[in-house]
Amino acid sequence: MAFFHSLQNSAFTDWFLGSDSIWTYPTVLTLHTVGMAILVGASLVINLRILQVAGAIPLQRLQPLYRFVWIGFAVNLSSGLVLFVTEAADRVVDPVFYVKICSIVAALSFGMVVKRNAIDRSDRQPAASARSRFLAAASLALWAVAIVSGRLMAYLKN
Amino acid sequence: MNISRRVALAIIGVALATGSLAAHHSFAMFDMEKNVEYSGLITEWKWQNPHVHFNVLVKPGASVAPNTVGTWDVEGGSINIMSRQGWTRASYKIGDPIRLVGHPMKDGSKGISLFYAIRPDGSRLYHDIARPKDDVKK
Repeated sequence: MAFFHSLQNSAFTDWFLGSDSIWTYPTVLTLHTVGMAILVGASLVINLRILQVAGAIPLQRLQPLYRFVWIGFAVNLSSGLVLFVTEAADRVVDPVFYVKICSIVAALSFGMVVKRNAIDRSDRQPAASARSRFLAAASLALWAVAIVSGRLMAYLKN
Repeated sequence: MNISRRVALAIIGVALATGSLAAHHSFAMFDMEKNVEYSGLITEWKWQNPHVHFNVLVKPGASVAPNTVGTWDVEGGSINIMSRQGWTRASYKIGDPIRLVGHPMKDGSKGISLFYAIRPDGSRLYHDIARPKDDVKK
């Protein structure tokens, strides 16, 4: 716990949160939003297609979208780490933060299982299995939980 | 398939069980229609994003409304929003006296949403672009 307090009370946090520049907190927070749009947007398209929305599009064609999943994830992991450091001690005791992180890990994991089972094998097996469809639906629900809990953190904090 | 279904349901269940969410801090908790004046000393000064925060200690006295006595957590806007109204990091520091008008918490706890500070010359430093209906261009 002392470690998280030292992060939150560090010179970096003082500089980052106290800077008058638009390029510090406002920019990183904006990047976190843009990264979320890229990551969840691409995931939404993939999962909806698995659930037979726009069923005429071959599953194989979804493959390039995973590049956006990882670009969005990289942007949000890095911007999220910076935002976490500045309120580390508050976040590690915040149940909503854990809901958000667990939802993201689960949604991404389900997305990878769907990729392996439905998309990478779509040349042999053109339709997604019931299991893949279930995981896609769960992934969609988990992204929604992640976004809502992320937003709630700002309103439910001490 | 059954195992993955069970794992998925368990994770969703955990995700939805948000547990005890005891603390609240949003603008909905402030009574924005109520303007209360407080006079005290700055005991903590946090010039930071996303919200500037400072604490004000109001001591009891003959001219002090008893319901304003205590240490109040005052919440402002972002650095950019307040800077545009003339605030700076150096507007106040710990130990400075301050007069301010704010919106108290609806539940009576010691939190205030800053409306404006009144400087010694009577001019006002507003939190954001909101102005009172009786604004006389101070």
